[in-house]
Amino acid sequence: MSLMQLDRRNFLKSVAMATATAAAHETFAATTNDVSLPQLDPKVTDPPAIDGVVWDKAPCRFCGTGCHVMVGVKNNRVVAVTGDRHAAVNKGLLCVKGYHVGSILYGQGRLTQPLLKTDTGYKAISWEEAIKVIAKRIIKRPKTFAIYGSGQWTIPEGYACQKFIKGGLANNHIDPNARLCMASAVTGFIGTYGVDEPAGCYDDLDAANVIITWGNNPAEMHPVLFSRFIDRRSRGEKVTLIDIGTRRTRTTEQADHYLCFNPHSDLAIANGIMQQLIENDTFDKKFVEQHCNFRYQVDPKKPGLKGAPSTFEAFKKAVAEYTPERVEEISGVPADKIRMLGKLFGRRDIRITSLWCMGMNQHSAGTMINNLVHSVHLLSGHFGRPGDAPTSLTGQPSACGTAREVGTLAHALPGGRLVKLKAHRQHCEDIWNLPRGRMNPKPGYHTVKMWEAFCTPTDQPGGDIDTIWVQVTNPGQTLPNLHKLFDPKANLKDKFLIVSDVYPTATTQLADLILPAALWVEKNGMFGNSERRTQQWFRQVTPPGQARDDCWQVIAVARAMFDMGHEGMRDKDGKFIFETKDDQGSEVPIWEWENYYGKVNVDEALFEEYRKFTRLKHKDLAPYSEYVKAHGLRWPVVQQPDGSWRETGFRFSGFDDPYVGKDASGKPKEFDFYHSTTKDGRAQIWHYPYLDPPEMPDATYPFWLCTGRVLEHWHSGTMTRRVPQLARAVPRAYVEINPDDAKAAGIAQGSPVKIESRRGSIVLPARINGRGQPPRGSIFVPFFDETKLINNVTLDVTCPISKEPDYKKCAVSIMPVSTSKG
Amino acid sequence: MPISGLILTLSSNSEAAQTALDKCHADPQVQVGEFVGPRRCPITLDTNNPEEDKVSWQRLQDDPGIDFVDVVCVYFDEDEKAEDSTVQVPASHSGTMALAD
Repeated sequence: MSLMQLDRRNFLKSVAMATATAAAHETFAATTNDVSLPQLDPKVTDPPAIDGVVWDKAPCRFCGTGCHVMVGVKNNRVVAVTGDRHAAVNKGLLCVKGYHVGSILYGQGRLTQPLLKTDTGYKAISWEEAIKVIAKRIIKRPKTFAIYGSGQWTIPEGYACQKFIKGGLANNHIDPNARLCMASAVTGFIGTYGVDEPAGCYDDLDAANVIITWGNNPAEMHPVLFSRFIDRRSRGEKVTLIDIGTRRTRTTEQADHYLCFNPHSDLAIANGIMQQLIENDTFDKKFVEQHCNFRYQVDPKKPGLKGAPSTFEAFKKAVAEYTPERVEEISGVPADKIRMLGKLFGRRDIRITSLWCMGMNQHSAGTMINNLVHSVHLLSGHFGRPGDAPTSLTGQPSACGTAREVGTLAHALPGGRLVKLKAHRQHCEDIWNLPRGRMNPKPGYHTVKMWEAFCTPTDQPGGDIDTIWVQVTNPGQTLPNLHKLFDPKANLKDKFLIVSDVYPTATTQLADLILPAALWVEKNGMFGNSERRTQQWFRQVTPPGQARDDCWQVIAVARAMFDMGHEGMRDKDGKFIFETKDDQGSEVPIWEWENYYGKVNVDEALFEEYRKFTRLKHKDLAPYSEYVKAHGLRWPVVQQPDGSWRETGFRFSGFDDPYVGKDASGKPKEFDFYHSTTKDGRAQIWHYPYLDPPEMPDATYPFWLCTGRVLEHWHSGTMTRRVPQLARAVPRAYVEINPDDAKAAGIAQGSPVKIESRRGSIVLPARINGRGQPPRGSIFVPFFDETKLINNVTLDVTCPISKEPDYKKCAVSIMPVSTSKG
Repeated sequence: MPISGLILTLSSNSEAAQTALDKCHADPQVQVGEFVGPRRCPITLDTNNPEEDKVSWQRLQDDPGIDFVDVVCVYFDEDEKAEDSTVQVPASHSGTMALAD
């Protein structure tokens, strides 16, 4: 190493130390009101001045936490990443994935040119040809075309797809991967409050006395949020952590109480807490009387989103059977622990925040367990004050911003509108300047149904999807029961799969047309995180080869169809539905790539149009220019008399939410659920009984299988497995087995194990007493590894309301696999 | 190789925390900064190759005297070439990625 290189490394180390020290002080001061920051080296600026490096902000590309990073670029390449100290979400901190987020752009094997499948393999084609192939295919059969995306779409990307499918093609066949991870949270919020997304925010984590993780492992899946809790404890604050889960995790290591429950029995636990609140007469009578109604499902086996009205007396009677002893019998959680939870929720002098993510959402009763956890908070009055919150987290960076708010779900329209409601369709037709009646009142196919239709022969009933365009996700790895919902495509020659992605994936394996996509800071973008925070960034480097923005791809296809005469691509004045004008009022041909980053900012144009949709459900967004200046803003963002824009931390709470109604004296009410399903300003407290799940262990398949994630890999590993440090840390999937089960089955550490269900099988190495530790009778397998597809084994049963599959439990057998060759 | 700035949150078990800190001081790849509050300690990590980086990171993560590792910044070596992908093409679906002539 030369002297110059050594000097440079020493300089970078001094910068790294100064930055880490400053971030540590930043979090410490933020939570102690200690503003006496130490004197830092004045040469270290924020972000640090490093020779030739240009810095700009962006949200992290990975999970739904929405950490802000500063991206350092030199010579059109990302060379540095720091946590953004000015960002309220992460206060300068990142997790191990954020640590390597810059590297995801530079893994080997980036897709750099359109590839069309031929009889002899894939042939490189021009973008012009690729666009024509897609446009012709859609024009030929517009009603059997579908788009499948995810919460990795930026807000403008999702909005463009939404407009293309629902305003242009009017077939409504668009759904995101969010159906596989967040749909039950959506229906849970709507069934309880009448409108989607959490009322609280991350500030709750700084104020709560008790944090309860329900089937949630934030220490590994949302580490920066977990770090807030760790930081408070490290300063001597008493914060109680209660981990309610089906296996021990790194979150459990920090927990004061670990309640290990039998899969699916969280329904009984929630009912048990409510039984205790009533039996002890410690529920919050004032809150309930003033702000709540009661609801139930007339037929629990055929539940509906809104259920039927009930009464307190009926509710009391319904939960009465969930005594601590009865809950112990169902769940395996000791009765004393249920009493402990009941007592905690019965206290008025503490603040309680519940967190959950896939553990409650990927559940065959996902909507119902979401409803019940909200109900526990409502019945106990632990709601709406900082630290008192039932809060779902998201796994994808814009699951909220794009999938839920833009509404890229088969039944939804932008801004919380619904396909089935005529008035909502007419709002869209007005904003999009479409002829009245253009839009289709029939919801499109949700994810499982869409892929089932795609994998059914066209000439058979139910085979009425013949072309799917996948963007920003990897269903060939993440759909449940892949042998049913993905693999049949290989033998269905009239089905056509288009995949836009940055790397080859399990999905491109069966693609007929592969389109190279730009990634993260290779394009402009906007995300919406788990706490309703909308974030914006600009393109900072150019994508490799011919990789291009997903949004451009959709607009280019729409324009090709317009040029071919497709009426759906015209508005009622005959103009292109994505017409975009420059400041002088001249149309810019943004469908030509050379103009896409030219005279106009397409993201800004799309966002400003989308923003018109956001008022109906009080999810107001500020102008694009405000997000350029900010580190994200939490909606509703409302303009103040002085012209500034104010975000909202706590929805439905009179002290913060400007849409809360006023009382007789003209002051804001303490709480107001202004989108109540009962139209009386009240939230709904639900009763729903514990019912056995659709598949349970038996003599043939005696183990529960739970699937999930690991700290080092994000989602299906497409990006993180190409970061050498992350890939080497956890190179392959494995199966976590309880040591007693392993011993009983003759399975040794690291030895191959065959896991088999009614749907398929897989062989994985055993991991015993590792990072995650399942109880006896239960195994866990992460799904990040595309060479070991655990979703060949999982079950495709969904929650009857949200249509979200249950990846957290199905019945399997395990057996050692002999490795001897004799 | 990357140079990174990290924050360690040491365990409330003072004996385990001291042991972890001693190990950090003894590690030439780790530079230990000044404590912020009773248990938060900024460090830098400077390694020679990806394997060392992985080993060091994993050791910190798994150390019983360290409750949590936050990342603050990472600087890549500008000359670093993209490394070989460790990703193998899956064999579970029947398609192929072979390019036609």
